[in-house]
Amino acid sequence: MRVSTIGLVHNAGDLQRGSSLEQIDRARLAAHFADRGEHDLATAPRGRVVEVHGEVREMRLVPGATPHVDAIVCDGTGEVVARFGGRARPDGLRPGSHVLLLGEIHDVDGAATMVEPVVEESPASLEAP
Amino acid sequence: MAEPAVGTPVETQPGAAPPETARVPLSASLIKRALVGRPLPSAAEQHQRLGKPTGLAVFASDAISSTAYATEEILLVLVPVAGMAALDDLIPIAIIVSILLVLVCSSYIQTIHAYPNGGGSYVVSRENLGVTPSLVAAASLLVDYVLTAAVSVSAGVAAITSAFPELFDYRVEICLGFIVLMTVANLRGLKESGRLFAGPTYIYILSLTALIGIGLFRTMTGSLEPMPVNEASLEELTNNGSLLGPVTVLLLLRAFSSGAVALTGVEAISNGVPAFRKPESRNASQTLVAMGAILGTAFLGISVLAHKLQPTVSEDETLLSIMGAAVFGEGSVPYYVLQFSTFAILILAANTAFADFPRVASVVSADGFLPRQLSNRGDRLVFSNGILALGAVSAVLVVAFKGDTSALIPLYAVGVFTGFTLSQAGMVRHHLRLREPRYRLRITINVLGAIATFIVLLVVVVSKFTIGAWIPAALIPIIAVIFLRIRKHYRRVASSLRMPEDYRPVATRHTVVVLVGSVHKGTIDALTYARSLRPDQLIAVSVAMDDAAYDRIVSDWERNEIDVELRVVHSPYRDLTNPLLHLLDEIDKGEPGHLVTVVVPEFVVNHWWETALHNQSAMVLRARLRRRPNTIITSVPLQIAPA
Repeated sequence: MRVSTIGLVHNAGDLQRGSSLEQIDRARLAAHFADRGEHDLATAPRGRVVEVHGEVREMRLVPGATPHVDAIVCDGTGEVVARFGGRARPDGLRPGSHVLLLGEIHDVDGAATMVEPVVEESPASLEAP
Repeated sequence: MAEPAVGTPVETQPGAAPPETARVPLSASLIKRALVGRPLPSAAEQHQRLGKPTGLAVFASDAISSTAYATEEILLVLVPVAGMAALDDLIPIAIIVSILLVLVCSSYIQTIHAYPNGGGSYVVSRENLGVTPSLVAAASLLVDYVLTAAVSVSAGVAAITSAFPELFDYRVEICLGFIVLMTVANLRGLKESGRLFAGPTYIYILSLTALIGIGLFRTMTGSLEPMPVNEASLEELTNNGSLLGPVTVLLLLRAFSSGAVALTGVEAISNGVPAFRKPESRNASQTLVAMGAILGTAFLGISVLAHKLQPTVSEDETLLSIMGAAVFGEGSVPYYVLQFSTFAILILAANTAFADFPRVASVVSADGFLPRQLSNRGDRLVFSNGILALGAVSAVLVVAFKGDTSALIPLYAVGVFTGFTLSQAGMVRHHLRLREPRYRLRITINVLGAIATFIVLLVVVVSKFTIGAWIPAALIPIIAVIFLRIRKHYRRVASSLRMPEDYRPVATRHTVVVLVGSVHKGTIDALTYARSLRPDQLIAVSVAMDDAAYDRIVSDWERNEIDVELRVVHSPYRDLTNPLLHLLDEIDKGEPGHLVTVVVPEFVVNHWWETALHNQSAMVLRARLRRRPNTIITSVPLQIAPA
């Protein structure tokens, strides 16, 4: 009987990649978003318009003098902050949703950031992960 | 995010409201007060100390109880081989055991004066022989006291169920009842338990005195003839004569070592010297002398009486019962008083264990070899945790052996005589070191005592190895190793806490993270508290398990216009802890001076069973966060109004 048949691991690759939830999740996203769009988040170039895909890992509602909403999008290879000014939450952005972002990536406070990118539902989200 | 756990340990409770929180433990407090009495101030410690009569009842009941079976133990070794001729060997063996008793008592009197803070064999070994022997002594003593408590109670209850066979099916419950009684009585204080149990101890001493006195008087005056041989019992013991044979040296050694069980409990007073009134050493040593005199006289007296009366020992009736029936008359009031006081003293031998185990454990614990809690005095100035630990372990033994702990009896002597041998060897080193007046005489006593008790130890281990003596022989070293591991842990903790001279804690940044399940009064209280910490960064964090949860928290947040950054984290595996830990890692980025305070709003419910109705996931989170460096966990309690 293979170990996977009793639900311990899916395959030997799982063991090689590690077994923490974070590692498993990264592997899940990397497998899911592989070959989607022009670039993955780890290699997406800075300073020119790119199309990237990923899953919204976190939403941040930041109040204060310059309120904004950040969506942290991750594709298993890296992550990008999609930043939107004001208090309004862009449609389609919620934790767990799969999105396509179109815009320029710049480094802001050490984090890859897209300011006001175009957001679409990722075609990848139509397929089962 | 999941609802915070309730009823879990609270690290800090800012704003706790006394009326509600005080209500929860009230009933428990009342029960505790009813059982153990009002708490005693530390200043009352002197008043809790024991005088000599009570001290004798508390610390000598174990030793004196051995008179109920020591002579019989000698005969049960000799009679199967030597038949009734065994009675001729009884007196010489009893005399040798009595000499050994004198040697051991003399040694412990010296110990009491040399080490007035108690701890007996453990302290003597620690001061003179080194750490390892002292731990062997401590393990021996503690194992011995656990066995004393379990075996004494079981033996006493066995005597009761022999008299009243209809109670046999309830023997475990009766044993547990006595253990609970001893535990509670001892939690009330040494003085109270001493007073409570002194009566039966002294009645037993008086009954025994009457048996020996009247018995010897009647045999000498000729009004009581030697008893006829009980052929049935003799045939049973000798297996119809097939076991009869020559009396060898080994047989005599076995008989001697069986009789030496009379010495069990002699060390008890030396362990508990500080329990006596001032001058502690003097009072303790005088009590030890009294105990030795009573024990020696009773043991020798019973042996001489047995020699005169020539009773046939039996596996069905105790020697004391046989001789009591002959001297007082079967069914007479004195006979029943002797029988019942024998039951009582056998059970009360456990009380010595309850007096000494916590004291020895406290001394060992103070040295860092046992959990520190064992050295704390409770409400009634006794070492409550030690008493509870002994009660629990002995109860487990009684249940495990179904109230028949006769299998544990061979285990006894190993611990006792290991302690005796180490103690006396330690005293030899002590005298050699200090060379006080008459030290040569003292050394001679201790050397003889150490050799004799070591011989008994060897004989017991060899002759009873297969029937149980291997257990303490294996267990004692294991316990000693556990002691060392515990101390290693405490040393590691101390080393971690040690503050270098130039130590300056670095706190460059402080982020407060408030965990939010939903927006309610407790959330607002927690955020208010978090703001009061004046952090560099304040973040509210929620873990969204689904879209509906995300929509609810965000819309509630916006509707209440909460002016705090809200982060809603996706949890693809419906897990609370890992997304939060990941988030915290992102926040502090492992910066050494970056403190993160995690604030958890917490419901405080009114009844213990209500805690089960709330999610316990925050408890798991707390356990994980405790291991995270530079992370402080704070609970903000929200008291739920009673129905």
